[in-house]
Amino acid sequence: MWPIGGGKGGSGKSLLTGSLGILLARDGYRTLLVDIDFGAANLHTIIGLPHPEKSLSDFINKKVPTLEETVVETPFPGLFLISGAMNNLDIANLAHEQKMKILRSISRLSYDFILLDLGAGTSFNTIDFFMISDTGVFVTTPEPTAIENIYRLIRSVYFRKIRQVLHTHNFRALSLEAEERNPRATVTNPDLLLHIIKELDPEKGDILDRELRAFEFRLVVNQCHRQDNPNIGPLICRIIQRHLTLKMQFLGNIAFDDRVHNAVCKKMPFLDLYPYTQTALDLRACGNRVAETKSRMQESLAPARP
Amino acid sequence: MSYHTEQMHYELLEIPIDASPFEIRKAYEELFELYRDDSIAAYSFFSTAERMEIISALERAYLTLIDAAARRNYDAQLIERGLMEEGKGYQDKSREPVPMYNIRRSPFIDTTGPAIPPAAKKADPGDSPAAMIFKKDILAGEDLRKIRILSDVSLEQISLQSKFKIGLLQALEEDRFELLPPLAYLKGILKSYAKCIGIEADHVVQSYLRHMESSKGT
Repeated sequence: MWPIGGGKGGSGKSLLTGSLGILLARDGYRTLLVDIDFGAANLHTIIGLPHPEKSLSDFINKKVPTLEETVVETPFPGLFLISGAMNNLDIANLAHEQKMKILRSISRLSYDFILLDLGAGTSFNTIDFFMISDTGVFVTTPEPTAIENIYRLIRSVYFRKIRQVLHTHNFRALSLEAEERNPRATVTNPDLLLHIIKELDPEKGDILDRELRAFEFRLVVNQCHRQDNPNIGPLICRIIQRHLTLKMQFLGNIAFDDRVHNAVCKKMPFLDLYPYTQTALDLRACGNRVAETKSRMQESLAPARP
Repeated sequence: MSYHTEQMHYELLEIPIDASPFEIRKAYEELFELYRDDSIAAYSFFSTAERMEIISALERAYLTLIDAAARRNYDAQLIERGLMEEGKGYQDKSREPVPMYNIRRSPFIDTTGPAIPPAAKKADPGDSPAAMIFKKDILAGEDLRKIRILSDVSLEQISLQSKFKIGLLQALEEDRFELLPPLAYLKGILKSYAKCIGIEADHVVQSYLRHMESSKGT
């Protein structure tokens, strides 16, 4: 299960999600796209299915009993979609219980790949969906605004994980203690918080450590212009690894192309309309790297030959 | 972020304990790229104070490790604290490059005379022993050799300057006419020879040729 998120709106999450879905389906994997960008769902337009008959809201409003029944087919064999096209207008403000219901249902679906198109920003709805699995793809552009938002998002995920793990272990008391000890251990510096927690309560610190180490994040730098430094992605990954000790793998740069605009306006998938652009090549490279992880996992799980 | 800066220098720079100076420098450059003022990748991640702290820690680590003496000192401290095993530090295995070309390949070696460049000689007063020999009408190879030695010039110097092989110059001095090239080239050799010693070339050429003529006759 692959949540795909990014702090900043317009960074290209939907394009990446849709394109990855198409590439993986063409590689033979049964792939499901889920649009959980509540209030701003665009995935259906990007992949060229402008009027899906069903949407996620149908499940929330109990028009259909199971989430599986909201799945629609796409023009691409092997690629399926749960769209947000006809969502309720107030879907962005889900009740906690509804959110948990969706989370549970999604995790019960069985496909080779499930790609979740998350919304921008760092609301709990976004973050909780991001933590639905141990993998996650962060999408940023090479601008300081996007980078700032990405760091904000990563820290929020980190902090939320801490809260989650310590939830039943007196998180509030520990964090207050940490604040007192060092006034900088606030949300803006969750890594410092972890360090202090480890000191105060090594056992819980250990649990937390293990949970954080289980994350396998990936980073995509989208909309790279020619004048942008192609090294920004690897540098960001290095900072995350050094200071938050989170595994952040660099998935690739994706070139900026004006023609993406054309494809979106035509409501057709960019990969099909402009397959020989640098952007398309970059997207294919990303798709290959994502598929690699699956084949590596399958190899390690495969029974030993007699 | 103070705990971050308490790390061992090697950990901070992400290098192994036996890293070479080249690796140390490269690691420092890469990390500096990460944390410098206008690094877009570090934007908003650190406060300025935190970032400067990290940069000065990196600098300290780099300056300690890049200086051989300071590094030995630091390694000794680590060994004392039990953080490092003895003998696992960086061993400098670099060697001098092997000389590829040896001008002494020729078996005829003449090592008389110190290496004074001929231009440094003072002008020869007319009655020195070298000048006496020089005045002769016929100069044999042996004469040339005597003049050369008295003028403190070695065959190697002449060879280096004129680019003629030592063996050739030796043949000249030993009157081995059969080893010498045809006349046109021989004149050139004699001229260079004379120039290197600092005596008049024309006379040398003529006298030696006369010597060759008379020798052929015998």
